[in-house]
Amino acid sequence: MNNTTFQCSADSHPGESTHNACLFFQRINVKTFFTLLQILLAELERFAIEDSDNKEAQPGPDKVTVVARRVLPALRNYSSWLLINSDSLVAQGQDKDTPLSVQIKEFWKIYANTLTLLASTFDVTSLPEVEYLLEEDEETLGFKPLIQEATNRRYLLDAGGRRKPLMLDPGVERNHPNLEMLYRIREFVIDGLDLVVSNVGSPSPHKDFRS
Amino acid sequence: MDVPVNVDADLRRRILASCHSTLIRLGDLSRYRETELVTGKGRNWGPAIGYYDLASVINPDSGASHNQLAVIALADGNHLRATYHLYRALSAREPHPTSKGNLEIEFKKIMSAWTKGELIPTEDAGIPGKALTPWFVYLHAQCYRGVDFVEHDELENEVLSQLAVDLKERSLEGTLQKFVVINIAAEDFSKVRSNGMY
Repeated sequence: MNNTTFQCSADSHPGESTHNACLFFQRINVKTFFTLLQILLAELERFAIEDSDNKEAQPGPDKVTVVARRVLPALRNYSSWLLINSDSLVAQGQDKDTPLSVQIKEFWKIYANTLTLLASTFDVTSLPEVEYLLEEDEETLGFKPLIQEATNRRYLLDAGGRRKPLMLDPGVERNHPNLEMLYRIREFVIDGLDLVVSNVGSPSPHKDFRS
Repeated sequence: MDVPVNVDADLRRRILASCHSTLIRLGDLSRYRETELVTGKGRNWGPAIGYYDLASVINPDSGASHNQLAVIALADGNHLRATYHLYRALSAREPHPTSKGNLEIEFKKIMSAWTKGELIPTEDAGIPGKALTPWFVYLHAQCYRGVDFVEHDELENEVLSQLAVDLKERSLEGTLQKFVVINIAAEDFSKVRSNGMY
């Protein structure tokens, strides 16, 4: 897979306008990811409050609300984006108090909080695995910004480079959509763990779900 | 019963390339039939879209299908779908060569429609949720230029807050995914432009 990742850096050549466009779009991505995380966090916090007296219950698909289901596929794409662009975000976040650096710092906080709450709401190690491409995976086949070594686990079946099957391929039995949603949560948390392991410098709350 | 033939990798690649090209041409013929023989809302793009989608399954690395799907979106005047497919055509491992020019023409149309107050259809004016997509494509058209503009912060915040409201009230079907993919593609393509690759 192509591992070329460019950055929105001031050192890259050409026009100021293309450099500005790069920063504008990076900002849109950070803020959209932030907005989707806010929505998911709000849905998770509802159950954290309602279920605080019932710690023995194994949360299942009923904990994934209708609103959460609307954002989880999009968050899967943003999770892949983060795996590929995390170095750039860390670099931008270190600029002194620019609006973008402030937004990036706020983003890392809500990302860490969401991962922590997901890990405490769901027993991630028991969540189901799905061995075919989900709808948003099929939709992004061939989409170079998300197809890099960091996202191999999402698209490939094994280290040999075989792509996961499509859900309509012969021999593939599609799981219930509830299980697919739980799988999306599982993968989102594992992506977060990947970032911690690669020492990207995201905030320390990640330690809460280290096994 | 015929027994499947084993072919070597190079022959397999050439056969699939031939299938891909053929499907694109079949899609084009289906599209021409609609544009030449049918006008306006009576057009049925189903067969053309079907062929282009099949071509994309055979070779997802090619931007050709997306460029052709963008042509259909442009014929329909659907700015979101056009922007989505043009960015997809540019973000493929084998990008389509005319897509950058088409994207820039599309963004000019969006900016012009905004200036004339025509980006939000008259029948949608004042209806909650109907402004989200026009605002989104206008935001992208402006950001693509890389020149800051007066209403930048306000527009961006309005798009995101409306998106949040809409997601809580209704399913946005494929619209949210298009937004996210366009956002990611736009950032990536701006880096490609910034590095002199285009």
